[in-house]
Amino acid sequence: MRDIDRAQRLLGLFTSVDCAEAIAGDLIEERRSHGVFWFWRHVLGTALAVSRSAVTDAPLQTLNLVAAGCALFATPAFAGVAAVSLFPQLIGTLVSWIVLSLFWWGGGLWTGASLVMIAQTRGMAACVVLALVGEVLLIGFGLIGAWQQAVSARSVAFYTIALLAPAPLLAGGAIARSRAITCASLRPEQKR
Amino acid sequence: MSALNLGEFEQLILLAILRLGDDAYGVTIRAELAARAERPVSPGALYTALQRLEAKGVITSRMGDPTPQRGGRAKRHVAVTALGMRALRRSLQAYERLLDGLDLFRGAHA
Repeated sequence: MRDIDRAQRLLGLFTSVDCAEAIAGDLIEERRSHGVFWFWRHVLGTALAVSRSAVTDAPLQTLNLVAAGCALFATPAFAGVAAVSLFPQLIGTLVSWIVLSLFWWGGGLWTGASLVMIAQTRGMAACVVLALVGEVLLIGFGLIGAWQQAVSARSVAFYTIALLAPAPLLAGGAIARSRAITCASLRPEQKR
Repeated sequence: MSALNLGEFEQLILLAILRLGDDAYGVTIRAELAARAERPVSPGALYTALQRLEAKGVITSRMGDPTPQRGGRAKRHVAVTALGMRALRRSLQAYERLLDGLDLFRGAHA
């Protein structure tokens, strides 16, 4: 895959297909005079600016989406804890961590994909906000917990699984958005 | 209906679009702002401002033809709408009225 294709895919996560194509084209046009480093710096900067603008232009809509994301993620998160709690003899074993990971990471993937299905362009920005808020809260709770009591192997495993959950959340959003773009681009060809 | 207010950056973008005419798209608008307004603008800032202006109905956009120099990607040409022209005129007239009687470049206010 060429740089421009990668850039367009990344930009397409946060803006419309036409906008992503035009922005990627503009940046590749200027890359000849500025170089590859400039190109990627501005691809990332533009993706960040566009996602931030999606949040600031409609903060209430984004807040609704983030709330919906919390509600969607809560179901598999609690289901994971419940599944592990059903077998007390397994708590703290490798099996319990695998089960918890499957529920939480699977839940993250499902939540990300669902948010993008609810709101095509703003959904990915909501995923980023949810991931950032989640990470900040987890790190905060983790630090408070570590300060108040000794760090155990169990708490390290618990926080590691939780801290990694935003990765499948973002991946789920990105996969859903890419699929939507592919479907949209295939539709005119199918009509022919 | 309340009048549409434009910020300083938005006014500069609209003026650059008007100067460029049919050739107004991301790259040329940034170059025009850097050359004439001596204001280097990051691509991210420009594209978010263009999206905001289009959402307000101040500009319209149309996709051009893909070109090999752009990796086969089309340009997104922009133009100022009648609403945009009215908002720009009103903003610039406000400047004119405020500047009337002041001599900022020479004299007492220099």
